Amino acid sequence: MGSRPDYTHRFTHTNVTDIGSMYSILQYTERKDLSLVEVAGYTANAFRIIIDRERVNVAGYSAYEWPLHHKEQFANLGFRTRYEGGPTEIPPTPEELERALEMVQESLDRGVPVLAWDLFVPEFGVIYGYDDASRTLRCRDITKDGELPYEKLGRGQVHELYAMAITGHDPVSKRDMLKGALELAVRHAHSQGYKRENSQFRNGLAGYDAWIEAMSCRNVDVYGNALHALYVYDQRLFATEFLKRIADEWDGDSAGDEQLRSLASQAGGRYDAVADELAELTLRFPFPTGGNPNDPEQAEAAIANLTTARAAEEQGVAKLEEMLKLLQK
Amino acid sequence: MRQREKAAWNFEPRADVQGDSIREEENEYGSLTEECLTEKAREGDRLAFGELVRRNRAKMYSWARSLTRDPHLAEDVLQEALIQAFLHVGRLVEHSRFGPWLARIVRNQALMKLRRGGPYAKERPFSGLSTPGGVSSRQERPAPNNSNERASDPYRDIDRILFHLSRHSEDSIRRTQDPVAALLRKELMEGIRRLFACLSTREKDIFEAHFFRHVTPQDIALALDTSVANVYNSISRARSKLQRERIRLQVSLYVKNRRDSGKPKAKLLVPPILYAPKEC
Repeated sequence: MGSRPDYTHRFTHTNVTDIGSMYSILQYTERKDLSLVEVAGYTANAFRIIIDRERVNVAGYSAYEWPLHHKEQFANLGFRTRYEGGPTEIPPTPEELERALEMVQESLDRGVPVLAWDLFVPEFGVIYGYDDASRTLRCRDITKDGELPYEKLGRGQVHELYAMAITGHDPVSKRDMLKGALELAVRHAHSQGYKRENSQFRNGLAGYDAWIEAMSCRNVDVYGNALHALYVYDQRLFATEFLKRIADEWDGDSAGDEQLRSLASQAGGRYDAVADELAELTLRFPFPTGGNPNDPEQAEAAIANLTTARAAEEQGVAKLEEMLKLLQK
Repeated sequence: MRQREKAAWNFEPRADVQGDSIREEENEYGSLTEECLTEKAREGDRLAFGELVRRNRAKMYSWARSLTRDPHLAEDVLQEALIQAFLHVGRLVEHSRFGPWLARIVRNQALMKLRRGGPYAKERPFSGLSTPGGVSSRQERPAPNNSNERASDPYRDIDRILFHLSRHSEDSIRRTQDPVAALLRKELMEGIRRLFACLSTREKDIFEAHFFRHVTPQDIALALDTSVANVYNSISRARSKLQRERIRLQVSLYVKNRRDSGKPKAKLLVPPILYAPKEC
């Protein structure tokens, strides 16, 4: 890791709040054995990047269809889910609020917290209690732990309701989890996921192109740029560690298993190179003040980092595809 | 009797008895998208509302029928749902679609009817209420999109609606053998009264004028000797107050229902592993 900053506190913390929240929720389930690194890897979250091509605005990290992705991610770990709402940008009707409360309380009564959006800030967090007498939910997100009135669910800073609850579990083998995760990672790298009309968001390899494009226009949002440097760096640290652990710990004596370990090690090396570049970005544009990303010299240096990162990630994705082919045999 | 109720409030455009200009306007509405019509209906445009109803009626009827499994009850359900939709279309949030919203109202109405005893409940539907003249108007009542007849429209202001609803409510409480139905009806009345009680007199006046009498904000400004901007502010404030109040009432009712059905009162799991306050 060298002189790179470690915002993950040795992989016990993540700034990427959906994955942090999912990991927290799994502690109350059959899969509390999964580490944060495994959750980040087996959900393929560690391999994601979404960037606004105009300004690298703050909305990038959440510009995807939450229910769809979280459902896929939970499913890859063997969990069935249900949800209410999504990234709708409109406040819930009274009936929608009631359905969400019903779902949340039903899950809490079964002893499993619920993933939710914009509890205290527009990030993902966890609802882990309720009290009908005070009509409040007990919630925690990355900024606060406290009570949230029932009426406020879906009426926080951004006025949209989203909550997802785990409803059941069907055990999945490690091999299937890895295969599923690689499928999600490769798809994210190559195909545009957010298909809303005129979307200015790009994901996967095109995400780096979008970032470079915005930097070249010298019009990036200072805060959004610093935030995405921090988040994507965080994710690539987890990707590197996940692949390293697969290389070191994957069981099996067959030639295929041996090859898989070797490919994982090579892929890990590529993601490590990506993390090196992103580490420089986080130092150049420290969160939350953000430095001067529109200063020509700074922007050119950042473009060099991003260009190198993109090339390394492209090689990394190619290795992931080889691993996937091996597992599909 | 059921057939007459069906005719009482069907919101179908009545091109046969209206002038050419209305017919042309209706044709124009026929070509608009559901989103556009919903937007207009939200603003209080009755022709748009009528067109939305025309497009959704058959589907909603078969939805109501599949929920109630009774063709007559389905008619009642649909009728009440349309009245509810008409009264509340103004609070339909922006960019919501009318169809799914109406479907939810139909579903709620159906569940409510079924809870009240289904096809055999001795209950007179809401459509039985009278015009201000006191004469039962099932046949005479004008189609709601006929602007010339607006003055006799019983839904033109909040007080009149409340008056009709509560009188009907008292009637039905007297008549009904089912104390649960009577209680529900009473609660509904109180709910609506409380809902509007959150508005100041002036906000209530403006809200009524805008949503029930369809006076333009410009005319309201003239009448109340204030600026158009103030009227818009007032309308929007009244609307969000009512929305907040609606949410509060819904949550109250929800919590009460939970309590009545013996559900747990509280639950607190151990705090999550991540994002302990010291981490942030």
